[in-house]
Amino acid sequence: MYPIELKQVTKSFKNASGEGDLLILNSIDLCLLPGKSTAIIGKSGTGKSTLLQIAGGLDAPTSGTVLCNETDLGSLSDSKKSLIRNRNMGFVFQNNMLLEDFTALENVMIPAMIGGSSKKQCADRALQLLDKLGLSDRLDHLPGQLSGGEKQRVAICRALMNNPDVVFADEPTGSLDEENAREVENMLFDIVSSEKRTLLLVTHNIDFANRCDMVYRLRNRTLTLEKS
Amino acid sequence: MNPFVSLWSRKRILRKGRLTGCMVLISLVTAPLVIALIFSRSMMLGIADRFIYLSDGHVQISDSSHAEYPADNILSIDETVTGYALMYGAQSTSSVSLKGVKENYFNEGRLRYMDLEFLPEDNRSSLNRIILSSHTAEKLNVKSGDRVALMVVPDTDQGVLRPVMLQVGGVYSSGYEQIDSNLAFIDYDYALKLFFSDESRVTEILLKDSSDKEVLSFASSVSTDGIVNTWQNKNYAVYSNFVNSRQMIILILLIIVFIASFFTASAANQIIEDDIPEIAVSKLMGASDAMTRQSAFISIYTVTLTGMLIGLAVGILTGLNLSPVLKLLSKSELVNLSYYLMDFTPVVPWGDIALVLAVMTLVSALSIFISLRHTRRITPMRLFTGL
Repeated sequence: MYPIELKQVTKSFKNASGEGDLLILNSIDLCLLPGKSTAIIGKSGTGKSTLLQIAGGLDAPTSGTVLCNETDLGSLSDSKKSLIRNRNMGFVFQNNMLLEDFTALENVMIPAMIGGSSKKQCADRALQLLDKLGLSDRLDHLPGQLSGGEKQRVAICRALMNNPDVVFADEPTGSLDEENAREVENMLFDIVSSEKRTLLLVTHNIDFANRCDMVYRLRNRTLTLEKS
Repeated sequence: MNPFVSLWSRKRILRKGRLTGCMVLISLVTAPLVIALIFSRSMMLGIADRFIYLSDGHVQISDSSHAEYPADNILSIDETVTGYALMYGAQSTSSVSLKGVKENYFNEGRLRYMDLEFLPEDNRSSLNRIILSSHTAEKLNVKSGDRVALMVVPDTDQGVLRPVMLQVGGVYSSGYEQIDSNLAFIDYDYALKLFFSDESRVTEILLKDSSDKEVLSFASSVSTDGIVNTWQNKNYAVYSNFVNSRQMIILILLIIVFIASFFTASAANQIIEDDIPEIAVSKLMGASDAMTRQSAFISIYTVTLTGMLIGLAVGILTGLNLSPVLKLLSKSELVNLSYYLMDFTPVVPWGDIALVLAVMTLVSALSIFISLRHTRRITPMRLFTGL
C-alpha cells in the first residue's frame, strides 16, 4: 500500500482561445514509498506544481486515478477529501500561506484543531514541533512579525502537525536567500526523516532534489526516473 | 463546538475595522427602530390614558341609579353630567363639551394627566365657574377670573337654547390638543340644572387593572337598566386608530428589518469575499465547507446580535429620555403636532420590541446562511489559480 499512487494521470487545460486542449501531464504513473522522499524536478512551466496539486487531491486529473492509501481520491466527496487532507497530508508552499491574523502557535495548531483535538493536545504537539525547529521564542508572533525563513519553518511545523502520511512541498525554499534556504532545507529533511514521513518535493534546485531518496524529472509531460 | 470553528470565529470577530463597522451599522438600524416603537407606543398609551382619565373613564354607565357591579377592581367612581354648549369670547366662539363633576373628581390619578390651576378663592365671584383648557382659553382670549358667556345646547326635545354667564374658575392642560380643544368642566350640581335627560347622567368608573380584557370583563358584569359602555366603544374611532396604527407601525418596522437584512447579507458576502484566501488555506488544511460556513456564520451572526443589542440599549436609553426633546418640540408652533401628544411617560413595549428583534434575528440568520452558500465554491485551488 502506497501513501500516494498516481495511475495514468493526464491533465490538460482548455486553451485560452478556447480551441483545443493544452496537455500538461500525459499518462503519469508514480508511487510514493512510505517513509521515503521523492523529488520532482524540471524546468519552470513543465507542470511540476500541477502534478503535486493532483497528487495532493487539490486538483482533479483530466483522466487517470490518484490513490491515497488505496482510496481513490476522485471518488470521494469534498468533505471526505478534506478529511483525508487533514489526516494524511501536509503541505508546504513557496509562499508559506500562513494565516496573518493567527500567531505562529495558532497557525501550527490549526490542522489538529480542524481534526477535533483538544486545545491542550494541539498546543502540546505544536510546541514540540516549533521547539524542534527553533521557534520557541516566536510562539506569539504574527506572521508579519517573522522573517521569511521563520515563516517557512512555521509552515513546515503546520504541515507535520497531524502526523500526516505524506508531506507535499512545492519549492519550499524558493523565496528564501541562500543561507535561509539551506537552513530550511536541512530542517525539512531532518524533521521529515525523524518523524518518518513520506515527502514529495517539487523543486528546480538539483542539489536540494538530490537529497531525496528518489528523483524524477518531468519533461515533455512525462516523468523519468533520474535517481533511485 | 469544534476548536477550529471557535478559534476562527473569535479571530474574525476581533479583527479590527471590518466587523466593527458592520456592528455599528446594525446598531444604527436597530436603535431608531426601538426609539420609534417606544415613541409610538408610549404616545398611544398616553393619549388613551387622557381619554380614559379626563373624558370617559374605563367604563361608563348611563342612568346608574340601579346599577350593580363588582367592587374589587375599582379605582374610582364618579358621577358626571355631560352636555354641549357654545362659548363666546370677545372675538371668537368655541364649541365645548361640558362635563359636570364633583370636587373630588380631580383626584391624584387624574391630576397625573393634566396640569390644573384653580382660580384663588379671593378672586371668585358669585357666578358659577367653568374650568377651561389653556387651548380654549387662548382661543377665546380669556384667563382665570374672566367671565365667559355660554349658549347651552338642550339635551331634550322640550328644552331651549339657554344663555348663561360663568366665571373661568381654572385652566387645565392635558397636553393633547384633541381633548383640550373641546372639554370643559363645570360644577356637578349646576350641570344638573342645565341638562335633564337620563342619558346626560353618566357614572364614570376607573379600574385598577385596565387591560382590555379586564375592562370588557367588568363592563359585561355590570347589572343595570341603563347603558354600559367602555371607553374603547365610546371612542371607537380613536381606539381602532390606535390598534391599526400600532399594527401598521410594526408592519413598517418589519419591512425595514427585512430591508436591513439585505445589508447583513451583503456584509456577509463582503466578509466572505475578503476572506477567500484564508478560507482557501483553511480548506487546504482540511477544514470542511460546513466548518468554514459555521465559523463564518458564528462570527457574522455574533456581530449582528451584538450590534442589535447595542442598538437596543441605545434605543431604550434614548427612548426613555425623549421627554425633554418632545417638550421642546411641543413648544414649537408646528401645526401638525396638534395631532400628537408630546407629554407622556415613556413606556418600553417589550412585546413589540421582542417581536421586531425576533424577526430581525431570524431574517438576519437566514440571510447570512443563504449568503454563505458560496463558500462551497472556495477551494484550495483558489490559492494557485486566483479564480
